[in-house]
Amino acid sequence: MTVLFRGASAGSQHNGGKIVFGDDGMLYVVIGERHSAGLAQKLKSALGKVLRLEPDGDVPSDNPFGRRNPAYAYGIRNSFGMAVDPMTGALWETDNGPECNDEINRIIAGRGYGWGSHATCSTPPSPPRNTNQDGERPRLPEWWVRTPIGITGLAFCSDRRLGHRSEGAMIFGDFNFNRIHRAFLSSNRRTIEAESAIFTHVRRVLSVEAESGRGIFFSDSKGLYRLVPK
Amino acid sequence: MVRGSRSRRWTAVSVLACAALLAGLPGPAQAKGFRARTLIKGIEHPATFDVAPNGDIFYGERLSGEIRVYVRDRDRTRWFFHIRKVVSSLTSGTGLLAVTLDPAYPDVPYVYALATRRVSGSVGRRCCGSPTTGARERR
Repeated sequence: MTVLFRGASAGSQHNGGKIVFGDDGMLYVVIGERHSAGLAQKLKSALGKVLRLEPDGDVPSDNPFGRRNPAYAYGIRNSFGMAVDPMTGALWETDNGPECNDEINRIIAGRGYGWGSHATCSTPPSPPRNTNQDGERPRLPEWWVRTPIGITGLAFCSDRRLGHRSEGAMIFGDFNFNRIHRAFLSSNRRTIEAESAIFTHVRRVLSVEAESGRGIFFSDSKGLYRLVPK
Repeated sequence: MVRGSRSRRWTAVSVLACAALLAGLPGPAQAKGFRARTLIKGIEHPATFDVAPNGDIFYGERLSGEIRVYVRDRDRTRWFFHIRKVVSSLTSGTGLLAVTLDPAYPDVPYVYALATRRVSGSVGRRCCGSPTTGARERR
């Protein structure tokens, strides 16, 4: 075993995270902000960030914040889901809000996603800006829900195993209500146009993954499952 | 990571890579249109997994730091790797957090993991090499 990257100390909460390979062959890592919202805005901290690494752990020379900085995007709170859209190569990420505003973000190089020390569930500002107001030009989520669902794993359904309608859809899980959700993206696949829960499990949904030609898989605290049509 | 005092220890979020050695029951409750087909049950907190091209599923047990493989053709699991010194707690969201396969797996036989680990200088030297540039090793 080789350690490729060692981040800052873990904390009592919000440790995240998830790792995926991008279409560019790089390793993308999302790490929570360790329950220190301000760290999500500090580019020198690995916490509250989506990081981009070479597969051997080196920092790519074309990273947006400099060749020595693994940060790719910032302003993240606590994520357990990240996936690449196989149709566009875009990186999407789920982020858990505090007592409000669970969200899904489309991750863009160098952008901030607004979580920071000014975040609040009070209004104004109106949601989702109240939890996404820190940093320069904070990017708002493509989808959000005011009452937290405990959003978890995220995947893209790239085949018709769940039916024609689900091909290309985004699938994600939730921890609080044991559900699996399906979201439909816009025609340019940059935004989310509609979302609904399509399945309620007996336990909390932890991780969701897809394998082309094999459909959607998910896990709970006791097992692994495949989501199939009735 | 070896600069700390003798007794100093901390928990770090680490990205790890390890080389690969190898290579239904009724579902739970249903909602509209879909159901869950159980692949394996009775395992401990598989908070993360990835599906290999042959259908095998590499899953990480969050609390123990064990990575196991559900071998689809044999409908059984086997041990793959143990990430040592994992610090885990369900309340703090720590443990073995993420597992993913190299996109070219199994031709490139690496498995990547994200975990919170208790790190001391001696452990860092022995098992991990340089934290940011260490070459991967084939086990």
